[in-house]
Amino acid sequence: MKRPPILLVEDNRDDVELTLHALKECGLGFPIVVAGDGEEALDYLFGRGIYANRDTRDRPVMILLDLKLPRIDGLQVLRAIRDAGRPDPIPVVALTTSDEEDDIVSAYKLGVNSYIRKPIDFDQFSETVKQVGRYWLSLNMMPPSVGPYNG
Amino acid sequence: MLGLTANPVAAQTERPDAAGAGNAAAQDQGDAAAPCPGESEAALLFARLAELGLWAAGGVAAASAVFAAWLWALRRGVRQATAAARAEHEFMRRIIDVVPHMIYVRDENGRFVIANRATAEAFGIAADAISGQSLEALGTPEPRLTLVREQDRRVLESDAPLFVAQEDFEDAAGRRLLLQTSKVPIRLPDRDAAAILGVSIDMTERQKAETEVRRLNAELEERVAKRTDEIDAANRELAAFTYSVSHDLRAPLRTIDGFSRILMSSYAGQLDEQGRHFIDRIRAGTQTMSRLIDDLLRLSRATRGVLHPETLDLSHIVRSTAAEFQNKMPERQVTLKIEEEVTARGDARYLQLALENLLSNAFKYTSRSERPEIMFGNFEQDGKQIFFIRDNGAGFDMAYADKLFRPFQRLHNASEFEGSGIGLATVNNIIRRHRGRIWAEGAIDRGATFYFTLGDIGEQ
Repeated sequence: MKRPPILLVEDNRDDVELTLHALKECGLGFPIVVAGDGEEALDYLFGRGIYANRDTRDRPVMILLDLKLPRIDGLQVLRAIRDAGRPDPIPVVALTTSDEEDDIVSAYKLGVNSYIRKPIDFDQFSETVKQVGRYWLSLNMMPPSVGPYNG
Repeated sequence: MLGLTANPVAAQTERPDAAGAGNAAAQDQGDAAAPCPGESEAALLFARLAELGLWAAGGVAAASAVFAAWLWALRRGVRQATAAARAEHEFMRRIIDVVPHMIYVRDENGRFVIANRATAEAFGIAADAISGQSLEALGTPEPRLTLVREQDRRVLESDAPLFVAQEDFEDAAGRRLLLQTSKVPIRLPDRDAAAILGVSIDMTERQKAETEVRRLNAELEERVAKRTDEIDAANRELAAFTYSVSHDLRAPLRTIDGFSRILMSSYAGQLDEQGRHFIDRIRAGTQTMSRLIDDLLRLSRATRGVLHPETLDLSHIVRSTAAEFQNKMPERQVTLKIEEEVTARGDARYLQLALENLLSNAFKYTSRSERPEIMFGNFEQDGKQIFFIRDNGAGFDMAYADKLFRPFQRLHNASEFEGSGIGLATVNNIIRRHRGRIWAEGAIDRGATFYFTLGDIGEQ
């Protein structure tokens, strides 16, 4: 059976490349889907737009979410996931540059599972991604998937 | 004073010991009043002359002569007394006429008995013609007429004073005035009747001034509110700016560091020693800039945000912060001397940040000292509590003391002690926001002491 993917929501292409590199280095072995903004992320999750033909029962195993995104930002993505109206079994990790208290508070109010500020030092960043992957994808237990989202 | 027009001769013949029948004061006080000096002299003279005449001459002619002499003496005395009373009366009259407020007495029929010049002028009548006039005869319009009569009636019936804080009044010249009136019950001396003594003060100008002051205050408040809105808007703009600085400046730094590191690990074989050194320098540069950005963000956060004052145990904050520094730098052996139970009112998070910065400096600048020592305490001077953090580290040249608290000002070479030069500017901001003051004393290689005070920041 095909492994479910990690959904990376990130608009900065350099950051995408570096994150992919870090994920590859830590060898988690999950495929990675990249959404360049919040709208694309929601299209993927709810099977809309360019993902209209996608089988939404194939749910990502984890979402790495940047908060500052063009058009629909990370907090709005969180709200849309929460408003989808079912308990959310996909861990959402905010991976962002902001350490603004307002952002942290808002993210947790909207049900984020983890909030991480991207370190500038790539070694630290790589280590962080490795720890996040290990924790959410192997240590942590999630309830069984309850079916597709209805956006 | 008012009734001294009665016939003094008749008074003397009927009641030789009284001071004149019409004198209200004398009458009110009964016979206890002393006779005028002129009258007692006349009485004495009369007695003497009567004796002398009766005994010596024993005739009617003599008696007539004596009577004429007595009359002459009596008239002279009474004339003197009347002149003195009149002078006093006129003096009193002048006083009440000079007073710029309306002073008047009205009888129970609503007629003026006396009124000063200010009253007469307000009613547009000569001062000597107002006596005996009623309010309606003087043209008082309704509903004021009914109102004033009602006031008068109440004073007469209750026999108690009445105070009217504000009443409208239009004077004879058509000016609308605002009066403050007191009415007190009084007895009319010559008629032994109840009357009202009224005093009305013109409040128009004062009212105008008060209105003006209120208007100016309102205007000032409005201006302050507008300024506050502008400042809030500027602060929000600043917050948005620092937010984007945080995000936008950090992102390219991550790119530089990330790709340098990948270059280093994936292409190590293609790089020689010097190539790897250059990459190291690039990565060190990104680290420095990353710290600078974080410090700038802290400085801007210290400038905005609301303070939540509470009573704080500064000794505890210093102790726990210093312990953290020691944990992070186990190789450092620093002697800490922290005075116990030093408390102050302030915002916990901001003061923690300020003390952290000061302690961080103290740790940093004692890194080359032989027996590093950091002290925290407080003392009182001129009734003010002064806190201090002292170290025996590298110190500084007092000539540059004023530069210490300005952002990006560094007194040490980066290779000696690293830092962005923002820490003390942040501390300064925090202390200033606590309405306090910070200053420093030091000497090169002889340590530094940072003193600060904290003001009252109220219950924000």
